[in-house]
Amino acid sequence: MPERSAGQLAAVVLVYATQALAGWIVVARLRPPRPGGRAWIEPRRWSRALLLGPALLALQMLAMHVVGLRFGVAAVVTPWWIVAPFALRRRPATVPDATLEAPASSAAPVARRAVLALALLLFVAALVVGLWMPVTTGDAMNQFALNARVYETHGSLAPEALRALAVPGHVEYPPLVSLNEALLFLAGGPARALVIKPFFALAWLAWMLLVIECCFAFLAPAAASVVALVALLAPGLALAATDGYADLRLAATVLLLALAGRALWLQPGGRRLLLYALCAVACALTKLEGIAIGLAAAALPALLVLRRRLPAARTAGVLLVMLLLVLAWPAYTRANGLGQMALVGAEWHDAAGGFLRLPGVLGTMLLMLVDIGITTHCFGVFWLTCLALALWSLRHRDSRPAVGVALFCGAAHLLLYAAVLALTPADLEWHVTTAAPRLLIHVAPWALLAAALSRGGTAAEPA
Amino acid sequence: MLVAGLVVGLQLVVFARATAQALPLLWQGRQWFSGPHQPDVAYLPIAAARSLGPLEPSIPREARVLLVTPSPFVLPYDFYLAPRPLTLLMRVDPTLIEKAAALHPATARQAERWLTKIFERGQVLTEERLRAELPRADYVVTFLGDAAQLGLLAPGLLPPGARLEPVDRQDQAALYRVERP
Repeated sequence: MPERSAGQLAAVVLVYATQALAGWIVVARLRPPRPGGRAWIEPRRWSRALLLGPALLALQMLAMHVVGLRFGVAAVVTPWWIVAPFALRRRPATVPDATLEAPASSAAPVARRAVLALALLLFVAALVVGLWMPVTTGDAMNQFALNARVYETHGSLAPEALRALAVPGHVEYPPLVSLNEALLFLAGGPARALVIKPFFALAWLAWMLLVIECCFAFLAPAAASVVALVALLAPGLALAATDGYADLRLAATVLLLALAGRALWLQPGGRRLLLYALCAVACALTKLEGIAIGLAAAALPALLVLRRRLPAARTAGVLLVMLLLVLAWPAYTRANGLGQMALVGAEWHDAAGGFLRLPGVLGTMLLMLVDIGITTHCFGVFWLTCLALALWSLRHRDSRPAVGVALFCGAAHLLLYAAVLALTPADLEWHVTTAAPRLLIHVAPWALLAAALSRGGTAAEPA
Repeated sequence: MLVAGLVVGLQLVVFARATAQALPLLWQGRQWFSGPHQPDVAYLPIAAARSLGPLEPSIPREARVLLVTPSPFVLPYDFYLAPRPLTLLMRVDPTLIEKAAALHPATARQAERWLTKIFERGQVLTEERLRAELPRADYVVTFLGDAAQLGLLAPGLLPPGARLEPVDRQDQAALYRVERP
């Protein structure tokens, strides 16, 4: 029995290592490391690998389902380890990268290292606390683990088995988390509900690394330290790292999408477009809300084509594949009669009633933004600090466009969520109080980005 | 600098306060996994994990399973018994919503919707439903009670000559095989 447990633990570690490896491979292909640089310790590469790796594994498992291959640990992980030696071979970087190699100001390293050390400490704490208890209930079970169990036991997406569940959870939920959990279930055996917990702490780590990158790339060290500390210590975000929900993963992917979008805007190019498109697909595969983000993300490349800053034919091809992947899951669930998407179905269609309820919902969500300690899952002074910095910087012509765009995206994101909540067929008070605090996690990246960009054009900002 | 210190200090206090509130609850959940049973609705998912997970290896993969429970709270039973086809019957107290409304009106209003779904899916434990489902099952799992307590041994529920053979008992769940002549 101990040999079996040791084998299962080794298999679980292998799955986590493969998730990171897959991410590393794609990041290395899209942004080759600088010659002589120690790429393996770059936090920027780790954050991307931790977010994009699981997305790639999910895409791989979806492809396996399409061609009729059964899910299995060996079948999923082996190709990545075979490809790794070739894919990770060093090549000279062709262009400096604004998203991965943005230079930090010279005064930054000490403060940045201190904040990085705190992030690692928080990650270890979240890992330990998460491992106190397996996933047993709530959306962690109903949106992800239950579906993952079906994928695990059937070795495929098994829509007929999902439809036949005695207590169907959210069987329509996008599959990135569930597919990665299914792989961990296959590796972990009876401890399945526990071995998935590090997956969520790793998303928290990715978020923290991106926050630190974002702050120290654009702000002066003192301001960067303050904003990064305020973001790292937001209780609503930190506690989400232990419960098995995917909101932090989506928030981190939204932040990565925003950074990739900014880099694409500043210096359009084929690889940047691919990275951006992959982020949009990762959002759409993570949560239902991510589908809306993935669709909206198509606007930026389209705008760049209109301005003749990206080649039309190639961009159209990438956009087409991106949108197909973003819409593939909703189309699949609809075709297989799996659950019901938000806004689909007659009970969602009371637009007049929804319009009347919108101010109340929006007001409640705005109050949640300024809750600095009434509820456990509050954000503390995160929103107030970020919005104060961002709004103050609007006075300066330098920072106005970038901060304005980030604030606009955040406001649109918030308004979209408020509108959907206002239309909910569920009990409004119950739905808003249970869902809104977690939805605000997805909007947080825009506030952080707006604050980070508040300094305007500086030496730290990529050209 | 002073403002920056105040902002970070305030955030640190909020963080410490929130984690000080949340961590004991998380630790309590951990304790509940190994400790005595708790008279708390929040304990039910843990009871399910403690009881149903260990029963699962004793049930053949293709077996049709009937799970009967006196609890109206919807738990992820499929998670512990997958991939076996599962039929679920739950005892529903008609005054449940009324009682819940006194404690938390919004949750009670939402619970009404969940209850409607239980009715729509035919998962309310009645003698008729038992009479229909017991003969179809290969295995029966009882949760938060045994076969006798849940009325599964009443005459006429099983075909003549068939009986429930106890297979295993884990914590608050029991497993029976339907033995047919």
